[in-house]
Amino acid sequence: MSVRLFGCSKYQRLSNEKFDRTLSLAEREFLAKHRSVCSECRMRESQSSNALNMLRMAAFDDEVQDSFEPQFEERILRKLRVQSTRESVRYWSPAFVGAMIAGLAVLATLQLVPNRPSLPSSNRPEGTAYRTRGERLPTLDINKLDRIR
Amino acid sequence: MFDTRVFSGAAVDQAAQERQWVARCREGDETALSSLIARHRNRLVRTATNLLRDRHEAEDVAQEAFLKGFREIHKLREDRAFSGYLYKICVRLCMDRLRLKRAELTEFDSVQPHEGGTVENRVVIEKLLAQLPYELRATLVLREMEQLSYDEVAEVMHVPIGTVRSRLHTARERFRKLWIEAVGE
Repeated sequence: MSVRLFGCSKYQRLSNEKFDRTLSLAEREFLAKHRSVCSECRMRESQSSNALNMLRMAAFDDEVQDSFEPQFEERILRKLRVQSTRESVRYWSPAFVGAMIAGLAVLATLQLVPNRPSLPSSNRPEGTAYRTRGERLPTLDINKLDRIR
Repeated sequence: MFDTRVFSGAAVDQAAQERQWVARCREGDETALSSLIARHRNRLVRTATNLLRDRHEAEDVAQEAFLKGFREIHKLREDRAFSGYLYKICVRLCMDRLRLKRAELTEFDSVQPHEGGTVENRVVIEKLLAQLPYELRATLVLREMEQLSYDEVAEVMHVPIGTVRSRLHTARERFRKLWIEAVGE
């Protein structure tokens, strides 16, 4: 038969606080005294202690270390390489796109400019040697030379 | 916070070595990356396994934590803070998964047993933990299984220490009740 006494809530509060701080002598004495007379608190404390012990025992510790995936490290390094490549592509891609657009614009401009002589014939400086398509060079006729003489 | 404990002897060397590795990682040295992975993977996988109770998922989370840690290594102000930083990332990733898993469990409600020594105990504990809300579960596991101090739990979970205290109190009490129901004590 369990017996619940006055002071059980204080006992529970202190038994929880003992995890957080060092209890004073008076508080420790109260816990010991109450524990000796209150079966319900004793049982509750024992249950709590068992449950937490089982929880601690279920922790994974050193056994984890022996069974790593063989490519654990390699996978991280590979992902890091991929990540850094992606980041550099992401960083440089606006510049590449800009350069491509500029290049295309230059090409388009060159294509659109009409292909004609840059200067009209009247503007050519005197004495400039030039040759146009279809224009014949003067020929030297020997018969005409004799007549002149 | 995890590295502010008093170091002595070999621990000081390890801390200095880690600072060097972190500095080299920033310059893209893969050997330093490998060394950091080798040093921290056991702890990360163990913590993730304790939180998630699934070994394969834990390895995925640990890998994800490493990737995130290395990606953001430039943001670290102190090289010595790397291990704590990595640990926090891992715990938060686990909590994200637990949050999603909680919804899954209500639909399927199935728990797979694990290999290991105390299989029955682990299966029972796993079922009990699955019934706790993820914040209580994570707090309880970090304190009781991972043996973190209250300050450390608060820092990792990004909550005030008072919240850790109240969550632990609730978690212990609910776990006790679930335990009694399970074992019929």
